[in-house]
Amino acid sequence: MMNIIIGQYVPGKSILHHMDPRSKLLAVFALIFIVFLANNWVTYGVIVILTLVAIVLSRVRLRFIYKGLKPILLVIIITFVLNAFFTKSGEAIFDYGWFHLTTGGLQQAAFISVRLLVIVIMTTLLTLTTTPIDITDGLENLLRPFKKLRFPVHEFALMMSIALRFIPTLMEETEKIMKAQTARGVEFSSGPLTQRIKAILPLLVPLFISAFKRAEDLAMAMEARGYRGDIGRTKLRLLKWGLKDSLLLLVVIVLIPVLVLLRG
Amino acid sequence: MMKSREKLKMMIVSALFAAMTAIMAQIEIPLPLVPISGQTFAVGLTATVIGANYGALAMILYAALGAIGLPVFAQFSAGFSVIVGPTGGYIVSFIISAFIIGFILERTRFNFTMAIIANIIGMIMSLILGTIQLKYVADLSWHAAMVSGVYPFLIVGVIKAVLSAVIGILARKRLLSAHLLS
Repeated sequence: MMNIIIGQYVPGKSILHHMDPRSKLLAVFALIFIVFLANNWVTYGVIVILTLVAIVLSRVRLRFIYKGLKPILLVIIITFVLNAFFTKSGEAIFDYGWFHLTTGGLQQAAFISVRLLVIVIMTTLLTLTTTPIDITDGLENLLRPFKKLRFPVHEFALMMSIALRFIPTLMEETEKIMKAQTARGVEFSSGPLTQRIKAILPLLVPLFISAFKRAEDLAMAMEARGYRGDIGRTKLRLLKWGLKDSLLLLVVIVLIPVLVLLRG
Repeated sequence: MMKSREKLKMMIVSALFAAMTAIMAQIEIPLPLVPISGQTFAVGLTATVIGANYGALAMILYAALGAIGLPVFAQFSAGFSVIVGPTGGYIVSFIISAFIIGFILERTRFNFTMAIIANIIGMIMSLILGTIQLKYVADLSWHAAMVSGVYPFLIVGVIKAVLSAVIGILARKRLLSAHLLS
């Protein structure tokens, strides 16, 4: 349960942990696009080295990074295999009926797998070194300009915090309702499939009703405390932009012309 | 005053539905071949119960929760990497799918037949949009993308769409009669 509240965050004291969530968000977002600039061994090399440096700086144990990679590792392998066998360029290494492996195909497969890996590792590093609530605050702050376009940035951040806050509560409630309905004779975990599907209704209806009631209570409580959107609202957690944040952005900006020059 | 509170209440309801989607995504009914996860079921259900705008809002929140690192996607995966990754299109498509389902129901009627039609349309939309991202991110051919992204999920998808339609309408009726939803 604790897992779902703090997300993937791994507490630590590294330089990446101490950075402002805004600089990390901007850097990762830019890198996702910058990675697509790489198209030969040199440019991919630069990006891989940069990723390795980021991993070292985060001082997060590799086990956690692997955990972030695991869900899409299979996809990367499938991508590698499909690209290796369906791209026909360069010299043939291996040819047998339907299967043909070429040097060009192998290179293409390697590049695309590295690109996917880098994107996943960079974004995983962000969520490994930043708490969900920090990311929410950072996003709210970064998206502030969109308020001018009437995009409800503050309301969005508020709803994120409410969802974050209530996931454990709703999980507990689901368990409670399941126990209560089991006591009344509903079968959740055994019996034929049709019976188990029928058991969904006595679980979901009380859950929805309590969610709506909770929302009504919370809305009333917020209004009673003077909530009027973000008008006159103060913050408990303040974000602090430092030198290292500026440096990080500088590295990312410099990376663009470097890659453009080195790419083939 | 009443109106602004109703809006605030529905905003909170959307947040709670995002949270419930996150929980349901973790529930899996093991079946031979393709297991049924609660994720897409929750999308149709949310849209059928709270409609287009709030349903889509709940799905935006759900995607955002996962993006910032909560293990809310199926099989406890998380992170912005999932959204920009090959299977991320399916998560983004939930937003559009929820909107379409809600929109069809709001323009017609919230009854079983319409809900089943809307949910099936939403499910197919979601599969198509998700597969487009799968094709481009994983650099697959259209045929390979369809084989890995559409065909295996069609039959289970229809079953889930019918389930979320029926359960959604039943739950909506109870909420309406309890004056919790207007």
